[in-house]
Amino acid sequence: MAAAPALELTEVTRRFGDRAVVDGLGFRVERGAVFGFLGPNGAGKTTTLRMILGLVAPTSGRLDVLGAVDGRSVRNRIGFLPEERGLHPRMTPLQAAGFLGSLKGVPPQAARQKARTLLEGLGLGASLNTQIRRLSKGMAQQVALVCTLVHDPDLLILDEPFSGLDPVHQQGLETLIRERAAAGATVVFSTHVMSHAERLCDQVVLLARGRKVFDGTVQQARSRAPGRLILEGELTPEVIAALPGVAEVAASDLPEGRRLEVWLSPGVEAHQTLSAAFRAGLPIRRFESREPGLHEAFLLLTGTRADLPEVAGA
Amino acid sequence: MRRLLIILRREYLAYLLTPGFLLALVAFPVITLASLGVPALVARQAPAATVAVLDLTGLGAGSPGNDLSARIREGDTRNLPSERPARLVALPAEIAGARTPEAAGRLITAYYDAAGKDDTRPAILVLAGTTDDLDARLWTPRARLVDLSGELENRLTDWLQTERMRAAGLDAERIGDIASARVEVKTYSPEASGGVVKMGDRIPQIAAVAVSYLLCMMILVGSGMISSSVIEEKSSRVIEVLVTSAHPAELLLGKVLGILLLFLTVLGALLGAGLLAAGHLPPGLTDGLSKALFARGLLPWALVFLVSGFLMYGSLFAGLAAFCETPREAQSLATPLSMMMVIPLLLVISALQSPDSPIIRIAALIPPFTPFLMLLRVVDNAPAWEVLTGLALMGLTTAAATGVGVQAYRTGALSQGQTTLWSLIRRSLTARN
Repeated sequence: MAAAPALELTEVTRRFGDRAVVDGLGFRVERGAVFGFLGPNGAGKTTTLRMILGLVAPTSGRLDVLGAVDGRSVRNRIGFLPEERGLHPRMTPLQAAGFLGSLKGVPPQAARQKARTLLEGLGLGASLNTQIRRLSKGMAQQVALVCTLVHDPDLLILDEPFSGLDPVHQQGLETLIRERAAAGATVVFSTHVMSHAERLCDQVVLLARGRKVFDGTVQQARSRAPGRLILEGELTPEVIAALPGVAEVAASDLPEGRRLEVWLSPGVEAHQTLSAAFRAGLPIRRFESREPGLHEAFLLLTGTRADLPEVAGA
Repeated sequence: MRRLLIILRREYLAYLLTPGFLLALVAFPVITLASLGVPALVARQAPAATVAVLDLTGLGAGSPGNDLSARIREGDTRNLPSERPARLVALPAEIAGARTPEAAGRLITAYYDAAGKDDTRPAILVLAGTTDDLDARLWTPRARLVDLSGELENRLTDWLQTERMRAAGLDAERIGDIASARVEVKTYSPEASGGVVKMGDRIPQIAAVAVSYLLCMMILVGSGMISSSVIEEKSSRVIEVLVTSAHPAELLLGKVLGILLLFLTVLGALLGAGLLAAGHLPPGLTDGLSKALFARGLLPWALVFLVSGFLMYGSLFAGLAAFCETPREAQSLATPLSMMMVIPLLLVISALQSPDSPIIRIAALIPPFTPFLMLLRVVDNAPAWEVLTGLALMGLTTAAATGVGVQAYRTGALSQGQTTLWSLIRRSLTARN
């Protein structure tokens, strides 16, 4: 018999008036997994997280959160980091950890001690007694994350945790997420920055306009996106377009010959098309195969036409 | 319950450990004492009124003008001991030629007009007529209330009665005997200590009124503190973390109770200071005060109504604040509720005189008014069923207010400022949970 999941949603819908913000959503997150909840802004990610936490009731459908109908009755086993800091600005990091930890059932002294260890590990040992309003955004974000960890939650829910962080702090946050997962916690985080999901997630769900458009591993998501080939030489777009597996070709002139950007059909391996080109004796001077990333899969699966910006250093 | 206490503690300490609180702790008794002492100080510092008398009665040495002038010189014109007695000045030369009250009026008007806005010119009393029909007109540079007129009236009445008795043939001894005749009506009651009703016996009623005003002040100040606390947590998004860590009811009640505890700390400190000060009062006065304050369970009942009243209003204010994004929004939303508190305060004044009037008895059972009025009913020996009904209705209202507040808290707290206030209220009323 399979172990009970940490989180399972079945046909969950949430309407505000006539508008379905989340529509028939279903997925399952195994215990100990790092789960990425992806989608463009307004896709319904935050509303879904709020339903999981029990802050918003679903209009229909069923949730199973650590064996409960929502997060309210198991709130001591959940750690939640909202998109914005969520800390009293006049508290110090240790006071905040003591206060929030005690709300989760940890004795304040133990919460402060745990927070001290975690913050020192993140290089914030000098700011333990500095008011949070005086910390930088990145430092405050790390303090907020530590406050969600002091009670060792079984389920960690992070809403856009990388938003506004510089590359150094992003790296530190990724390390923390990996450590929590290694310690057995289930981590669910929402983001629209694909590179974090690519590096961290065992499983991703892509959401667009309130509907699930993909549920699987990162590798499975990538395979949904078309691969690309860059070809240079005395080539014509018509000849390349006739090769097997080619979906689209764009050409640009070089001082000598042309540079062709070739999009392959989903599921087609680049070496299949290249082999056909060499067998046909085409005058290829240089070639380059570009594997599809989660970013391309995201654009394809969510139906987003405009390129999404990738965060620098991500 | 554990989480409620944690929230309560945080709210309490967040204010307790601030310089503002310590300043308020010192400022409160200073302001209270100042508000009691300022009127007397103003009266003492005010310049003495100056009066000139123009007597047109032609009654010679025994004229009312002469009699009154003598009284003013003796300083017999004060309404209150703290006031300065009026000072008699010579009649201005410009008016001396007047022969009728009307002519005097014209001259006095010209005399005042010549001085412009200079109101240091004296009041002028013009007397005319006979003992059968005495005409007295007091002119002043400014058309404002002059306390002096009442005292002058009393002195002139004394003179007139004396003259009429003399005209009726009574001798001076008989007249003096009649003028000094007085009857003092003493009030007795089995409730009064020693039988005769004294000021000390009215302390419970006065204390009940004071508690009503204290509660009003606590609600007005506390509502601001609760609102700003909620709005600060909303704007910093702390509330999102809090509502995933504790039930909204725990958050709301913890916040309200934390601030209530802060007020009780202030009151406790003041009570302690009062007890220390009482050690220096004469023993009789201390005994009288303590008997009056502990009579009919005044202090415990005062605590019950302070706590329950603050809880009821505090829950409503916290719920309202949860809908708002800025202190200005919270203030405008809370204004009608604050204005409503004027009604019980007006009723309290009437209740002091007639605590058992039907209107007061009914109003004391209406929950928003109960904490302000029921204490007066309690010290007036209201029947137990009345007090218990008032408390029960207030308890139900508090529970309902907390319920509405929790719903408002849940809906309003999670809004992101993208919707209007009224749509939030509508959403909270139609939300499923």
